[in-house]
Amino acid sequence: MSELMRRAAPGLALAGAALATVWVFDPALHAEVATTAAPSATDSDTSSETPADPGISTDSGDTGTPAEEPAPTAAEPAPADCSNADSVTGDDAMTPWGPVQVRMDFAADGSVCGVQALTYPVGDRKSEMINSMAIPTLDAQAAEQGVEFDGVSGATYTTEAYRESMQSILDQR
Amino acid sequence: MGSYASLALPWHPSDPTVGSAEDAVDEVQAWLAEVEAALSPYRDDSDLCRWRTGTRTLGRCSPLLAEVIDAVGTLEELTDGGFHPYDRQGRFDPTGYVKGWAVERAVGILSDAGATEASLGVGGDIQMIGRANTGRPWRVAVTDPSDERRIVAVVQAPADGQPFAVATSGASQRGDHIWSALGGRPRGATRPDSPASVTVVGPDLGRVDAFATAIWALARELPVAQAWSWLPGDGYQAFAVLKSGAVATTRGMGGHLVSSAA
Repeated sequence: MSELMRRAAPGLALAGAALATVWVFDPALHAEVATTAAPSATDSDTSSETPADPGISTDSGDTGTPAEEPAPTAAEPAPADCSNADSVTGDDAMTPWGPVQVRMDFAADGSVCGVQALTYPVGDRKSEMINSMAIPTLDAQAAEQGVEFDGVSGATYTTEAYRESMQSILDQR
Repeated sequence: MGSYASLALPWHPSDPTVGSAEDAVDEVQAWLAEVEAALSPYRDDSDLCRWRTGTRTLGRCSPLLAEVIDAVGTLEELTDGGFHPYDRQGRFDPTGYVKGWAVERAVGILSDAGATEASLGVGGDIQMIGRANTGRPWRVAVTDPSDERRIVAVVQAPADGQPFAVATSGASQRGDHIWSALGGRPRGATRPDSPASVTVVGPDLGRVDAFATAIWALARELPVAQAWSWLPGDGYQAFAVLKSGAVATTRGMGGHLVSSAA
Protein backbone atom coordinates (compact mmCIF):
# COMPACT_ATOMS: atom_id res chain seq x y z
CA MET A 1 0.00 0.00 0.00
CA SER A 2 2.65 2.35 1.02
CA GLU A 3 4.48 2.12 -2.23
CA LEU A 4 1.85 4.32 -3.72
CA MET A 5 4.16 6.60 -5.55
CA ARG A 6 6.80 4.23 -6.83
CA ARG A 7 7.69 4.51 -10.44
CA ALA A 8 4.58 5.34 -12.39
CA ALA A 9 4.23 4.05 -15.90
CA PRO A 10 1.12 5.69 -17.25
CA GLY A 11 -0.84 4.09 -20.01
CA LEU A 12 -3.54 6.28 -21.39
CA ALA A 13 -6.59 5.24 -23.30
CA LEU A 14 -8.99 7.82 -24.64
CA ALA A 15 -12.35 6.73 -25.94
CA GLY A 16 -14.96 9.30 -26.78
CA ALA A 17 -15.92 11.23 -23.71
CA ALA A 18 -14.48 8.65 -21.40
CA LEU A 19 -10.93 8.55 -20.25
CA ALA A 20 -9.42 5.57 -18.55
CA THR A 21 -5.93 5.70 -17.22
CA VAL A 22 -3.98 2.89 -15.73
CA TRP A 23 -0.81 3.35 -13.83
CA VAL A 24 1.20 0.37 -12.87
CA PHE A 25 3.50 1.27 -10.04
CA ASP A 26 6.35 -0.95 -10.88
CA PRO A 27 8.27 -2.26 -7.92
CA ALA A 28 11.77 -3.61 -7.74
CA LEU A 29 10.27 -7.03 -7.05
CA HIS A 30 9.43 -7.19 -10.67
CA ALA A 31 12.75 -8.59 -11.75
CA GLU A 32 13.12 -11.45 -9.35
CA VAL A 33 9.89 -13.33 -9.65
CA ALA A 34 9.37 -16.46 -11.65
CA THR A 35 6.66 -16.26 -14.23
CA THR A 36 4.72 -19.29 -15.24
CA ALA A 37 1.65 -19.31 -17.33
CA ALA A 38 -1.26 -21.31 -16.11
CA PRO A 39 -3.00 -23.64 -18.49
CA SER A 40 -4.82 -21.22 -20.66
CA ALA A 41 -8.52 -21.00 -20.50
CA THR A 42 -10.85 -22.20 -23.16
CA ASP A 43 -13.09 -19.66 -24.72
CA SER A 44 -16.38 -21.28 -23.92
CA ASP A 45 -15.62 -21.81 -20.27
CA THR A 46 -17.54 -19.35 -18.18
CA SER A 47 -18.70 -19.24 -14.66
CA SER A 48 -22.09 -20.60 -15.60
CA GLU A 49 -20.61 -23.95 -14.74
CA THR A 50 -19.70 -22.89 -11.26
CA PRO A 51 -22.11 -24.40 -8.79
CA ALA A 52 -24.10 -21.96 -6.79
CA ASP A 53 -22.39 -21.50 -3.50
CA PRO A 54 -24.37 -21.64 -0.29
CA GLY A 55 -22.80 -18.32 0.37
CA ILE A 56 -22.13 -16.23 3.33
CA SER A 57 -24.71 -15.95 5.97
CA THR A 58 -25.83 -12.52 6.83
CA ASP A 59 -26.11 -13.34 10.48
CA SER A 60 -24.73 -10.37 12.26
CA GLY A 61 -24.93 -11.63 15.78
CA ASP A 62 -25.05 -8.76 18.19
CA THR A 63 -23.23 -6.41 15.92
CA GLY A 64 -26.02 -4.64 14.17
CA THR A 65 -28.44 -4.99 11.35
CA PRO A 66 -27.90 -7.92 9.04
CA ALA A 67 -26.68 -7.15 5.58
CA GLU A 68 -29.88 -8.24 3.99
CA GLU A 69 -30.93 -5.11 2.27
CA PRO A 70 -32.98 -6.16 -0.72
CA ALA A 71 -31.13 -5.33 -3.86
CA PRO A 72 -33.32 -3.02 -5.88
CA THR A 73 -31.54 -3.56 -9.14
CA ALA A 74 -30.96 -7.25 -8.73
CA ALA A 75 -34.36 -8.32 -7.49
CA GLU A 76 -35.65 -9.70 -10.77
CA PRO A 77 -32.51 -10.01 -12.82
CA ALA A 78 -32.69 -11.13 -16.36
CA PRO A 79 -30.13 -13.91 -16.62
CA ALA A 80 -27.12 -12.70 -18.52
CA ASP A 81 -26.74 -14.29 -21.91
CA CYS A 82 -23.29 -15.78 -21.69
CA SER A 83 -23.52 -17.97 -24.76
CA ASN A 84 -21.70 -15.38 -26.81
CA ALA A 85 -19.58 -13.79 -24.15
CA ASP A 86 -16.97 -11.27 -25.07
CA SER A 87 -13.58 -11.99 -23.49
CA VAL A 88 -11.17 -9.34 -22.30
CA THR A 89 -7.73 -10.08 -20.92
CA GLY A 90 -6.40 -7.92 -18.14
CA ASP A 91 -2.95 -6.59 -17.42
CA ASP A 92 -0.40 -8.56 -15.46
CA ALA A 93 -0.49 -7.59 -11.82
CA MET A 94 2.59 -8.42 -9.80
CA THR A 95 2.92 -10.33 -6.58
CA PRO A 96 6.27 -11.22 -5.04
CA TRP A 97 5.75 -14.73 -6.42
CA GLY A 98 4.84 -13.79 -9.94
CA PRO A 99 2.24 -12.06 -12.02
CA VAL A 100 -1.46 -12.63 -11.91
CA GLN A 101 -3.42 -12.08 -15.07
CA VAL A 102 -7.12 -12.61 -15.42
CA ARG A 103 -9.59 -12.78 -18.22
CA MET A 104 -13.20 -11.64 -17.87
CA ASP A 105 -16.12 -12.66 -20.02
CA PHE A 106 -18.93 -10.20 -20.58
CA ALA A 107 -22.40 -10.66 -21.99
CA ALA A 108 -23.58 -8.20 -24.61
CA ASP A 109 -25.37 -6.16 -21.93
CA GLY A 110 -22.16 -5.71 -19.97
CA SER A 111 -22.92 -8.22 -17.26
CA VAL A 112 -20.01 -10.24 -16.01
CA CYS A 113 -20.24 -13.87 -17.12
CA GLY A 114 -17.04 -15.09 -15.59
CA VAL A 115 -13.49 -14.43 -14.55
CA GLN A 116 -10.53 -16.73 -14.93
CA ALA A 117 -6.93 -16.48 -13.94
CA LEU A 118 -4.77 -17.05 -16.98
CA THR A 119 -1.50 -16.57 -15.16
CA TYR A 120 -0.69 -17.05 -11.53
CA PRO A 121 2.40 -17.62 -9.47
CA VAL A 122 3.80 -21.09 -9.01
CA GLY A 123 7.11 -22.43 -7.85
CA ASP A 124 7.36 -22.27 -4.11
CA ARG A 125 5.35 -23.82 -1.37
CA LYS A 126 3.55 -20.67 -0.48
CA SER A 127 2.54 -19.97 -4.03
CA GLU A 128 1.21 -23.46 -4.53
CA MET A 129 -0.90 -23.03 -1.48
CA ILE A 130 -2.21 -19.82 -2.93
CA ASN A 131 -2.92 -21.47 -6.25
CA SER A 132 -4.88 -24.28 -4.80
CA MET A 133 -7.18 -21.99 -2.95
CA ALA A 134 -7.20 -18.81 -4.86
CA ILE A 135 -7.35 -19.15 -8.57
CA PRO A 136 -10.43 -17.24 -9.14
CA THR A 137 -13.58 -17.81 -11.00
CA LEU A 138 -16.04 -15.13 -10.21
CA ASP A 139 -18.92 -16.30 -8.15
CA ALA A 140 -21.62 -17.52 -10.47
CA GLN A 141 -24.24 -15.76 -8.46
CA ALA A 142 -22.74 -12.37 -9.00
CA ALA A 143 -22.77 -13.05 -12.71
CA GLU A 144 -26.27 -14.47 -12.66
CA GLN A 145 -27.58 -11.49 -10.78
CA GLY A 146 -26.28 -9.38 -13.59
CA VAL A 147 -24.88 -6.89 -11.11
CA GLU A 148 -22.48 -4.59 -12.85
CA PHE A 149 -19.70 -2.95 -10.92
CA ASP A 150 -16.86 -0.57 -11.64
CA GLY A 151 -14.25 -1.52 -9.11
CA VAL A 152 -13.15 -4.22 -6.72
CA SER A 153 -12.12 -3.96 -3.08
CA GLY A 154 -10.76 -6.76 -0.93
CA ALA A 155 -8.24 -7.70 1.65
CA THR A 156 -5.64 -10.21 0.69
CA TYR A 157 -2.46 -9.98 -1.24
CA THR A 158 -3.12 -12.39 -4.06
CA THR A 159 -6.56 -10.94 -4.33
CA GLU A 160 -4.95 -7.58 -4.71
CA ALA A 161 -3.07 -8.70 -7.80
CA TYR A 162 -6.13 -10.46 -9.05
CA ARG A 163 -8.18 -7.34 -8.47
CA GLU A 164 -5.62 -5.22 -10.24
CA SER A 165 -5.77 -7.36 -13.34
CA MET A 166 -9.55 -7.41 -13.15
CA GLN A 167 -9.69 -3.67 -12.63
CA SER A 168 -7.58 -3.16 -15.72
CA ILE A 169 -10.34 -4.90 -17.67
CA LEU A 170 -13.12 -2.92 -16.06
CA ASP A 171 -11.21 0.23 -16.94
CA GLN A 172 -11.27 -0.72 -20.59
CA ARG A 173 -15.02 -0.95 -20.64
CA MET B 1 4.83 -4.95 -4.20
CA GLY B 2 3.90 -1.74 -5.85
CA SER B 3 0.44 -0.40 -5.97
CA TYR B 4 -1.66 0.15 -8.97
CA ALA B 5 -3.94 3.07 -9.57
CA SER B 6 -7.07 2.81 -11.60
CA LEU B 7 -8.83 5.91 -12.84
CA ALA B 8 -12.17 6.16 -14.58
CA LEU B 9 -12.89 9.71 -15.66
CA PRO B 10 -15.98 10.25 -17.78
CA TRP B 11 -15.16 13.69 -19.13
CA HIS B 12 -18.00 15.97 -20.04
CA PRO B 13 -17.58 19.17 -18.05
CA SER B 14 -20.53 21.50 -18.09
CA ASP B 15 -18.26 24.49 -18.44
CA PRO B 16 -16.65 24.54 -21.89
CA THR B 17 -13.83 26.74 -20.68
CA VAL B 18 -12.36 24.13 -18.38
CA GLY B 19 -9.20 22.35 -19.39
CA SER B 20 -8.84 18.97 -20.95
CA ALA B 21 -8.96 15.61 -19.24
CA GLU B 22 -5.29 15.11 -20.10
CA ASP B 23 -4.39 18.30 -18.26
CA ALA B 24 -6.34 17.13 -15.25
CA VAL B 25 -4.55 13.79 -15.28
CA ASP B 26 -1.21 15.60 -15.53
CA GLU B 27 -2.15 17.61 -12.47
CA VAL B 28 -2.93 14.42 -10.59
CA GLN B 29 0.40 12.90 -11.56
CA ALA B 30 2.15 16.04 -10.36
CA TRP B 31 0.26 15.85 -7.08
CA LEU B 32 1.25 12.22 -6.54
CA ALA B 33 4.87 13.09 -7.27
CA GLU B 34 4.67 15.92 -4.72
CA VAL B 35 3.24 13.57 -2.11
CA GLU B 36 5.98 11.05 -2.72
CA ALA B 37 8.71 13.66 -2.46
CA ALA B 38 7.27 14.92 0.80
CA LEU B 39 5.95 11.83 2.51
CA SER B 40 7.50 8.63 1.18
CA PRO B 41 8.92 6.52 4.00
CA TYR B 42 11.10 4.73 1.44
CA ARG B 43 12.97 7.72 0.10
CA ASP B 44 15.77 8.92 2.31
CA ASP B 45 15.46 12.38 0.81
CA SER B 46 11.74 12.77 1.53
CA ASP B 47 10.71 15.43 4.01
CA LEU B 48 9.27 12.72 6.21
CA CYS B 49 12.56 10.81 6.41
CA ARG B 50 14.66 13.93 6.90
CA TRP B 51 12.36 15.22 9.59
CA ARG B 52 12.37 11.85 11.36
CA THR B 53 16.15 11.71 11.41
CA GLY B 54 16.36 15.29 12.58
CA THR B 55 18.17 16.56 9.52
CA ARG B 56 15.34 18.89 8.53
CA THR B 57 13.06 20.95 10.75
CA LEU B 58 9.33 20.80 10.26
CA GLY B 59 9.34 24.46 9.25
CA ARG B 60 11.62 23.68 6.32
CA CYS B 61 9.59 20.67 5.22
CA SER B 62 6.72 20.62 2.77
CA PRO B 63 3.58 21.91 4.49
CA LEU B 64 2.03 18.58 3.54
CA LEU B 65 4.01 16.94 6.33
CA ALA B 66 2.58 19.22 9.02
CA GLU B 67 -0.89 18.72 7.59
CA VAL B 68 -0.53 14.95 7.75
CA ILE B 69 0.95 14.98 11.25
CA ASP B 70 -2.07 16.95 12.38
CA ALA B 71 -4.54 14.66 10.62
CA VAL B 72 -3.14 11.39 11.95
CA GLY B 73 -3.03 12.79 15.47
CA THR B 74 -6.73 13.43 15.23
CA LEU B 75 -7.29 9.97 13.79
CA GLU B 76 -5.42 8.31 16.62
CA GLU B 77 -7.80 9.90 19.10
CA LEU B 78 -10.88 9.38 17.01
CA THR B 79 -10.23 5.66 16.56
CA ASP B 80 -9.47 4.90 20.21
CA GLY B 81 -5.86 4.28 19.29
CA GLY B 82 -6.74 1.77 16.59
CA PHE B 83 -4.99 3.91 14.03
CA HIS B 84 -1.36 3.89 15.05
CA PRO B 85 0.90 5.89 12.76
CA TYR B 86 4.21 4.29 13.71
CA ASP B 87 6.26 1.58 12.10
CA ARG B 88 7.78 -1.41 13.84
CA GLN B 89 10.83 0.58 14.79
CA GLY B 90 8.58 3.06 16.52
CA ARG B 91 9.21 5.74 13.93
CA PHE B 92 6.39 8.03 12.91
CA ASP B 93 4.89 6.55 9.75
CA PRO B 94 1.65 8.08 8.48
CA THR B 95 1.60 5.96 5.32
CA GLY B 96 -1.62 4.22 6.36
CA TYR B 97 -3.35 7.57 6.06
CA VAL B 98 -1.33 9.13 3.28
CA LYS B 99 -2.32 6.67 0.62
CA GLY B 100 -6.06 7.18 0.95
CA TRP B 101 -5.69 10.89 1.57
CA ALA B 102 -3.54 11.34 -1.53
CA VAL B 103 -6.12 9.54 -3.65
CA GLU B 104 -8.93 11.55 -2.10
CA ARG B 105 -7.10 14.80 -2.83
CA ALA B 106 -6.30 13.63 -6.35
CA VAL B 107 -10.01 13.24 -6.99
CA GLY B 108 -10.47 16.72 -5.55
CA ILE B 109 -7.99 17.98 -8.14
CA LEU B 110 -9.99 16.31 -10.89
CA SER B 111 -13.14 17.89 -9.54
CA ASP B 112 -11.53 21.33 -9.43
CA ALA B 113 -10.40 20.82 -13.01
CA GLY B 114 -13.99 20.32 -14.08
CA ALA B 115 -14.62 16.61 -13.67
CA THR B 116 -18.08 15.86 -12.36
CA GLU B 117 -17.54 12.10 -12.33
CA ALA B 118 -14.44 10.21 -11.35
CA SER B 119 -13.32 7.04 -9.66
CA LEU B 120 -9.73 6.64 -8.55
CA GLY B 121 -8.52 3.56 -6.74
CA VAL B 122 -5.21 2.31 -5.47
CA GLY B 123 -4.91 -1.28 -4.35
CA GLY B 124 -8.64 -1.71 -3.99
CA ASP B 125 -9.20 1.45 -1.96
CA ILE B 126 -11.33 3.72 -4.07
CA GLN B 127 -12.54 7.35 -4.06
CA MET B 128 -15.49 8.22 -6.27
CA ILE B 129 -17.46 11.34 -7.15
CA GLY B 130 -20.53 11.67 -9.33
CA ARG B 131 -21.80 8.66 -11.18
CA ALA B 132 -20.44 5.96 -13.44
CA ASN B 133 -20.43 6.55 -17.16
CA THR B 134 -23.70 4.71 -17.52
CA GLY B 135 -25.42 7.21 -15.23
CA ARG B 136 -25.94 4.82 -12.37
CA PRO B 137 -24.12 5.27 -9.08
CA TRP B 138 -20.57 3.92 -8.84
CA ARG B 139 -20.44 0.36 -7.58
CA VAL B 140 -17.62 -1.58 -6.00
CA ALA B 141 -17.54 -5.35 -5.50
CA VAL B 142 -15.98 -6.55 -2.25
CA THR B 143 -14.30 -9.95 -2.44
CA ASP B 144 -14.57 -12.71 0.12
CA PRO B 145 -11.28 -12.84 2.04
CA SER B 146 -11.45 -16.63 2.42
CA ASP B 147 -12.47 -17.43 -1.12
CA GLU B 148 -11.34 -15.03 -3.74
CA ARG B 149 -13.71 -16.52 -6.27
CA ARG B 150 -16.59 -14.98 -4.48
CA ILE B 151 -17.96 -11.53 -4.11
CA VAL B 152 -19.37 -10.89 -0.69
CA ALA B 153 -21.21 -7.71 -1.48
CA VAL B 154 -21.50 -4.91 -3.96
CA VAL B 155 -21.53 -1.47 -2.37
CA GLN B 156 -23.00 1.51 -4.12
CA ALA B 157 -22.27 5.23 -3.97
CA PRO B 158 -25.08 7.63 -3.08
CA ALA B 159 -27.57 8.22 -5.88
CA ASP B 160 -26.97 11.97 -5.66
CA GLY B 161 -23.36 11.54 -6.73
CA GLN B 162 -21.85 12.85 -3.49
CA PRO B 163 -18.27 11.77 -2.76
CA PHE B 164 -18.00 8.14 -1.73
CA ALA B 165 -15.05 6.00 -0.76
CA VAL B 166 -14.50 2.31 -0.04
CA ALA B 167 -11.54 0.67 1.66
CA THR B 168 -10.93 -2.86 2.88
CA SER B 169 -8.38 -4.05 5.42
CA GLY B 170 -7.54 -7.59 6.32
CA ALA B 171 -5.01 -10.35 6.57
CA SER B 172 -2.28 -9.84 4.07
CA GLN B 173 -0.05 -12.47 2.51
CA ARG B 174 2.78 -10.06 2.95
CA GLY B 175 2.56 -10.34 6.69
CA ASP B 176 0.63 -8.28 9.14
CA HIS B 177 1.49 -4.86 7.88
CA ILE B 178 -1.28 -3.59 10.07
CA TRP B 179 -0.47 -3.87 13.70
CA SER B 180 -2.08 -2.55 16.75
CA ALA B 181 -0.99 -0.07 19.31
CA LEU B 182 -2.09 -2.66 21.81
CA GLY B 183 0.94 -4.72 20.86
CA GLY B 184 1.71 -8.30 21.64
CA ARG B 185 0.32 -11.38 20.08
CA PRO B 186 -3.34 -10.93 19.27
CA ARG B 187 -5.42 -13.12 21.51
CA GLY B 188 -8.54 -13.11 19.47
CA ALA B 189 -7.14 -13.44 15.99
CA THR B 190 -8.30 -17.01 15.52
CA ARG B 191 -11.72 -16.70 17.13
CA PRO B 192 -14.49 -17.43 14.67
CA ASP B 193 -16.04 -14.07 15.39
CA SER B 194 -12.87 -12.17 14.59
CA PRO B 195 -12.87 -10.52 11.19
CA ALA B 196 -11.13 -11.83 8.11
CA SER B 197 -11.64 -8.47 6.48
CA VAL B 198 -13.13 -5.10 7.33
CA THR B 199 -14.66 -2.79 4.75
CA VAL B 200 -15.50 0.83 5.50
CA VAL B 201 -17.48 3.27 3.36
CA GLY B 202 -17.80 7.01 3.75
CA PRO B 203 -17.28 10.27 1.92
CA ASP B 204 -13.49 10.63 2.10
CA LEU B 205 -10.92 7.94 1.42
CA GLY B 206 -8.27 9.29 3.80
CA ARG B 207 -10.48 8.65 6.79
CA VAL B 208 -12.27 5.64 5.34
CA ASP B 209 -8.98 3.83 4.76
CA ALA B 210 -7.62 4.78 8.17
CA PHE B 211 -10.87 3.67 9.82
CA ALA B 212 -10.71 0.27 8.10
CA THR B 213 -7.13 -0.11 9.28
CA ALA B 214 -8.08 0.90 12.81
CA ILE B 215 -11.06 -1.44 13.05
CA TRP B 216 -8.99 -4.32 11.74
CA ALA B 217 -6.28 -3.63 14.31
CA LEU B 218 -8.69 -3.26 17.22
CA ALA B 219 -10.70 -6.35 16.25
CA ARG B 220 -7.69 -8.51 16.97
CA GLU B 221 -8.38 -7.84 20.62
CA LEU B 222 -12.02 -6.84 20.69
CA PRO B 223 -15.32 -8.09 19.30
CA VAL B 224 -15.88 -6.30 16.05
CA ALA B 225 -18.90 -4.37 17.31
CA GLN B 226 -16.64 -2.83 19.94
CA ALA B 227 -13.80 -2.37 17.48
CA TRP B 228 -15.97 -0.03 15.43
CA SER B 229 -18.00 1.51 18.21
CA TRP B 230 -16.25 4.88 17.77
CA LEU B 231 -17.10 5.07 14.07
CA PRO B 232 -18.68 8.48 13.41
CA GLY B 233 -22.30 7.93 12.48
CA ASP B 234 -22.40 10.73 9.93
CA GLY B 235 -21.86 8.85 6.75
CA TYR B 236 -19.33 6.24 7.82
CA GLN B 237 -20.46 2.62 7.82
CA ALA B 238 -18.65 -0.69 7.98
CA PHE B 239 -19.02 -4.39 7.55
CA ALA B 240 -16.76 -7.27 8.46
CA VAL B 241 -16.49 -10.72 6.96
CA LEU B 242 -15.81 -12.87 9.99
CA LYS B 243 -13.59 -15.95 10.05
CA SER B 244 -16.73 -18.00 10.60
CA GLY B 245 -18.02 -16.76 7.25
CA ALA B 246 -20.73 -14.62 8.80
CA VAL B 247 -20.98 -10.98 7.92
CA ALA B 248 -21.37 -8.32 10.59
CA THR B 249 -22.48 -4.83 9.65
CA THR B 250 -22.98 -1.50 11.28
CA ARG B 251 -26.56 -0.41 11.54
CA GLY B 252 -26.61 1.87 8.54
CA MET B 253 -24.51 -0.26 6.19
CA GLY B 254 -27.46 -1.87 4.45
CA GLY B 255 -28.31 1.32 2.63
CA HIS B 256 -25.04 1.07 0.71
CA LEU B 257 -25.35 -2.57 -0.29
CA VAL B 258 -26.57 -3.46 -3.75
CA SER B 259 -26.54 -7.16 -3.09
CA SER B 260 -24.99 -9.64 -0.80
CA ALA B 261 -24.12 -12.85 -2.53
CA ALA B 262 -25.91 -15.15 -0.18
